[in-house]
Amino acid sequence: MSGVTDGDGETLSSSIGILGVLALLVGNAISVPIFVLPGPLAGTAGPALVLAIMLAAIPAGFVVLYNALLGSAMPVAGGLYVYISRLTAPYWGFLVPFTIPLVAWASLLITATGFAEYTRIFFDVPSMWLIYVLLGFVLLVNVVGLRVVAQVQIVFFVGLVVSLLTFIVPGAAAIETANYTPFFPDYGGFGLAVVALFYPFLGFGLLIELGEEIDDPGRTIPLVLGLGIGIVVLFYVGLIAVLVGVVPYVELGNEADLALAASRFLPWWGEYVVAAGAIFAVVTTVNTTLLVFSRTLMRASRDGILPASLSRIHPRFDTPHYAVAVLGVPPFVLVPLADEIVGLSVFIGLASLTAYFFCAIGLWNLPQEFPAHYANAPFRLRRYRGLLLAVLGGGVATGAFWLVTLLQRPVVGMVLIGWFGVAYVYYRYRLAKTDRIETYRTMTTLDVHERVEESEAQRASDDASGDTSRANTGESGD
Amino acid sequence: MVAHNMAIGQYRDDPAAMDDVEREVAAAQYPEGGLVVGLGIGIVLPVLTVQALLVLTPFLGGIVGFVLGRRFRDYAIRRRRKDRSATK
Repeated sequence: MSGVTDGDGETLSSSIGILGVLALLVGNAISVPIFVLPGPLAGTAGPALVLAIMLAAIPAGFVVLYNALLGSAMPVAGGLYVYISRLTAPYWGFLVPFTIPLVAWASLLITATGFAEYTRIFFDVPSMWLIYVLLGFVLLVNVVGLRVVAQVQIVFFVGLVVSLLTFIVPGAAAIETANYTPFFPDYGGFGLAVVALFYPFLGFGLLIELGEEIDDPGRTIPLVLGLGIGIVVLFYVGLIAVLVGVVPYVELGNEADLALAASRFLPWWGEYVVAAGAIFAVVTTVNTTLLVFSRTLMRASRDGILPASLSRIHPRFDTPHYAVAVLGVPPFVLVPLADEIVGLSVFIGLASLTAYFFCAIGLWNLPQEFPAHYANAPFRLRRYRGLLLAVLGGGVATGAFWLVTLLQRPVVGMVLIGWFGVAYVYYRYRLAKTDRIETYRTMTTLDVHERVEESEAQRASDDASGDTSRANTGESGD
Repeated sequence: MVAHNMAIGQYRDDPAAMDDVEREVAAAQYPEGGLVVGLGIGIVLPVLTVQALLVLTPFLGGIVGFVLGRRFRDYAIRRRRKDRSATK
């Protein structure tokens, strides 16, 4: 991705146009879980899975909005950890780097399982071997710092889209409406599916990086956001509508069920095209999965709240090898959990949305606590209108996710809250190991290069005057 | 200083507006820790007893834990101030 934005300093939109930005966004957002999750979820939720993916898109929309607003107002290294610790409280922020390893392990196990199940359509090899091969490959790629060049990335993205369209377009004509009854065979399974299907939307994190690169961001960001999430939702809904419309839901339940469905209405090559699409989705994410997470660990380590070794860079490979190892090694031991695809996805969905809930509170505090940053944001919301709605919406969605999870899979909620408790003990331990006041001060303030002077903010605000797409800063709304 | 309003929009401790005692105690994040412990108790108890209570007890537990954490924080500040003035 970065290959497109680097180099001559042109903005994304001026070099490849708004369609290019959209392609990057959608390509990054469509990820492996959407190939893996529908089968196992449809086995219990039935045809209502179509509605579940639409509902999952609602919190995903909020997340996209938070990313866009915070990413553009306060571009920092460390993402959610920095936003939450600086804008709410240090301990809430600390939960991000402390929980990220669990999310990364679960994510790797799901990706590896998807890779294994779809690769087995081409080669008859035991799943377990393929899972270990992928985990090893991901670790190696991220430690050594290999990059899939932008052109290859684009080729895989095109392959991914072709694969999805090959499934969705002819599949739409093969749907048998009888397969949609009963629509709600299991309400509990349906609720859990909404939480689990939030995970395939998490690829929109790229927006944090896009904020500064886009020309006329006040107009382009909301446009790209709306279109981007709309396109991804269309793909996901189309995919699931065909899956449950072509195969009776009682026959579903496996990770590679999209290939099974393709074999029902496409010629012999159909399942291979779908399987190739899933493998393309894996390839486009292997070199970002761990490195993106490791940046957060590095920032927390530099703040002193995690061990210093996590921010160390390998002298030869130029990668945060210890952080990558923390994220990439434990899944080898956790492979037996790979069967728990739904539970792992629910965990990722719940943990991520909880983090974004704190992010939403941080966003609410932003105009008040860092007015200069908010004034610099390319586009803003009125504090007591759009911003309040976005924050409350995220809060309601998070509460609903927790409720559904606790009622359907209490063990997932217990593991997460138990982990937060462990995090508190470790947080206090780290405070005791460091100068606690200095660590506290570091975790509540931005680095010097991340600060914005009031004069700059005023200038940005003046420049923006007359632009109707920009609303007032938070101060005026108070 | 520490006993600031907790209304939404003012939910953030500002170390620059605190003295050393307040900073030292605020760093411990007692209300936040209390919230997590309360939430945890509010989840585990109904899971072990009446599951339907899960609709209510996690939220109640979280609120009670947070309030207790704030009280403990205020107590810790008072105690440290008293110790400090006694030393002087």
